Amino acid sequence: MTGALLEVERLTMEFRAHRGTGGGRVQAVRGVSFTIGKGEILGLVGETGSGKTTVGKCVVRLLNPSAGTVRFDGQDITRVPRGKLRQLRARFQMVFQDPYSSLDPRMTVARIVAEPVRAHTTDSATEVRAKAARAIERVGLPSGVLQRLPHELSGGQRQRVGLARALVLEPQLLIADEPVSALDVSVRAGILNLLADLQRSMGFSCLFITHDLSVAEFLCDRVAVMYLGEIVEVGTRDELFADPRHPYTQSLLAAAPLPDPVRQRGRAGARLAGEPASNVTPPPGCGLNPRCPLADDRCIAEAPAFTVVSALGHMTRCHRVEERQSAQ
Amino acid sequence: MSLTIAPDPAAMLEAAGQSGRHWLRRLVERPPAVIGLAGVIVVVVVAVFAPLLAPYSPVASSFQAVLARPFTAGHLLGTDELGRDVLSRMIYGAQPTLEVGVLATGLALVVGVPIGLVSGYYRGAADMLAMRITDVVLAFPFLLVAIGLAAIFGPSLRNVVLALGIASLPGFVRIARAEAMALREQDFVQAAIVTGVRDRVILFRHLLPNMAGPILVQATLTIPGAILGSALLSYLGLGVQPPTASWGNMLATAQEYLFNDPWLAVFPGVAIFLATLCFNLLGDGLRDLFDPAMR
Amino acid sequence: MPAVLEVDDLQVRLFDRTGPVLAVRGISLSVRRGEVVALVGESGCGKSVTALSLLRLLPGDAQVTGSVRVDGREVLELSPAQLRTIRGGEVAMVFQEPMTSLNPAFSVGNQIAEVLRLHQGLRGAQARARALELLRMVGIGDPEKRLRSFPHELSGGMRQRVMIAMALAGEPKLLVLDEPTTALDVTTQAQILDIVRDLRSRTGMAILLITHDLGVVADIADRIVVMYAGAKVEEADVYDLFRAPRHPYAAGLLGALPGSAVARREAGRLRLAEIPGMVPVLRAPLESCAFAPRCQRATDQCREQPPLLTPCGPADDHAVACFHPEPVATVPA
Repeated sequence: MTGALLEVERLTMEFRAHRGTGGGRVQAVRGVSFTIGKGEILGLVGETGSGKTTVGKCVVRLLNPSAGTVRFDGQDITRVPRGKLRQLRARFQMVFQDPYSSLDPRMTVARIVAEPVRAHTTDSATEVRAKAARAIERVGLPSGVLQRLPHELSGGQRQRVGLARALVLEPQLLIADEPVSALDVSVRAGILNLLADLQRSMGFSCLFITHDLSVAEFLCDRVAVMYLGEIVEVGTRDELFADPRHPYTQSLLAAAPLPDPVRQRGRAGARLAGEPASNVTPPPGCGLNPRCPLADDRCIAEAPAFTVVSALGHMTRCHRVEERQSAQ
Repeated sequence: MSLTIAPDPAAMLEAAGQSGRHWLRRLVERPPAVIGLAGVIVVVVVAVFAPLLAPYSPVASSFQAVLARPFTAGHLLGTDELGRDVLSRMIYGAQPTLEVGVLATGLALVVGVPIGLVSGYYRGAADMLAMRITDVVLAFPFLLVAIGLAAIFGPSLRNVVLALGIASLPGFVRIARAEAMALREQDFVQAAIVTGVRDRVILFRHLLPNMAGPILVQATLTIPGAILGSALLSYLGLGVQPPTASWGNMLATAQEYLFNDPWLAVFPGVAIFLATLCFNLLGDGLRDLFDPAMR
Repeated sequence: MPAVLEVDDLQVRLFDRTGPVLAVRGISLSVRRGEVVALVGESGCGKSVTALSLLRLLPGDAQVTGSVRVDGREVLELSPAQLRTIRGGEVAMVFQEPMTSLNPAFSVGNQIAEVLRLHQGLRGAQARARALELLRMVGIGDPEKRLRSFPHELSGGMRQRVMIAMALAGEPKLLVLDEPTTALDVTTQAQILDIVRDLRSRTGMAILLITHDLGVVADIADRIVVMYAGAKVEEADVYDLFRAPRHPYAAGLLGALPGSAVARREAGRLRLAEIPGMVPVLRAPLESCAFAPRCQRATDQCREQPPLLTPCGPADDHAVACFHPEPVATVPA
């Protein structure tokens, strides 16, 4: 890991709220900053409404962020002109959650996988075909699927096609938005193994967006936890899972059931009460304060800043952690 | 061993909705749509092969047999006020009637779909403009617009097509726009954007083919409207001009003889009614096929 | 003590465009009072069809044979009127999607009161008091206000609580939960599972939990039944199965999960187990093991005759339908 490939700084995204919310604005992402090093997989973990998918869409500029910068290899892609952006897109690609809607139902697999090559190179038809065939082989599919239509494939096969399309140009960054959540367990395992293998052999960086902590723990080098539009904790996988500091991360980890009754039933059952606050009217101070058992007046009065808790860059935004840290 | 490996049910349903052979078969499972399809085929065959099918020339007068009643010798549907064979005029009349319907619909489709496609995909200023224009066209009653245009441009087949085409435009703009907006949010279009595919390619390779179904439905439902419109314009003397026969102008001339010789009005009237009905039945059948909820 | 639910050799044949589908192929299971039995499998394994056939909720052309006894009464032979008293009465069901299971046009209070009127004969103030009590039981804060709420005003977790409250209104002996937390976030799921755990110990209901999530099973179930292609392939105490799954499919499912006890490590990194191929759709009875085409342990025997469910040990209530079950010893305890 030498230097950052992606630097996201103070990223903010607001939407006009839908009916019934009094014309407010949904603050989907509120000042999110993170970096991804070369060859690193960063997991972005959160529940529904945490803003993790919006962050992903801003990073690939499917959405234009309200504020903040997204620097890819030094260039701020929130500000590059359209033509330049189109060229840059060859270097960062995306995999989507739904293997059924992410492939054009009327295109053969060969055309789907060849499309990025056609868009970015002047390769001859033979070269394009060869690249598509190689990409399909790389994701572990038989070459026979090239002439198939998406609906003739299973969910797992479709997701592999999506991966082949994203990797055919050998991008430096892959944004994967819940790529395995729509799949059955046995199929999911194949895709996760494949992603891990491909990352090691091709060396791309990856922003892996997921709600599933066990998946993040399996695949990611570092993990960032989002709550109500903000990153509340970020750290290396080992540190974050072994020693979560933020009350939200702690209860999220405690709430995700382990597929092992011995360990699952032996765990302390610290539960968060209630549900996340509205992101149209987020609470003042720390976003978690209405649900947090440790919250006091300070948590309502002032938003916590990041406290670094380890030499490896494990940090979290919690007044309690900061107070404990400075007391030492 | 009868072990069929199949993907999950969702994929199976989707497969049924998307492969070509399947939807033809499923169309055939709907009796009203089949009746509609059969009727449409009959009208098309009659229009195309009119010279072969008609027993007489549509304009040849026979003064021995003026206003002959139906089922008289040699004239199955009788003759008109100039002694022309009604059956032959009906057969030849299918041609301009269908022509107006198809051409007007084609014009509306060719102009309306790209407008809707672009305004739905890009939104913004282009969308505002397209929507306001279609709102203006929609605010006028369909036939009033056609009558106005026919009055301005003068009565001729071309002008009828133009008038009805413009009047049918908003339907296509709206459908294409709605489809483009929906498809734009689909992951496969988002994927194409992220991949850096050119807009032109996205519009014509991803959006257009995937909205073909609803547009076909809209076309099938627009043709009968245009046929009715052309009949009305002919009736008002603004459409196809005599002596060329069209169902509309046959109906118009027939009104003078409505009292004594009602069949002159009944046959073209019934023909217009049935043709319109068949197109509508077919269109409804196609709509059911393409409706995701029916899959 | 007799079981609350006893299913014996349940067979369900459904019809799609192409013809008959053998959705359930001879399932037997029982759920005793106070027990949580999990029915587990991936999409298309027949677990939801099994759940629906318990209350005869399948489409009219479905062919159901075998026996489903609730408290000794044969459900498959009940008249429509008797069936109505069982549905929402002795047997209550909670589905995955709480939004579509609630009527959007009526308030929460109205819908709970309806169940109370039908099955408990309660009306007016009595019904209201009981509805409030039920909402409190499922952990809904400010129940007076919630009685007047409409489904769209509630979050997904809140709606699922309401669904459970409605299920409880008929004081069921058996509660069938069909993927009750699949649509929910994990923190909400944990709250719902706490409620289920609490209800079980308080009311002694028998609970049949249909799920694909082995984490949920590990958290709450006493016994587990693993289904594949419409048939039961393994049944065991939860602890036994998670420690030493005997059927290759069950072992594969567990090995595919990063956090399970049987997941393997390769060169210091976790390697997840993969099951190649797809779940088959069966249209005619099989003369082989349904899992054989995907199984690494399959032999000619597996391809020539279907294995029957047989006790396999080490525990005496552990049974597997496999000629070559996974050895217990290779799985680290």
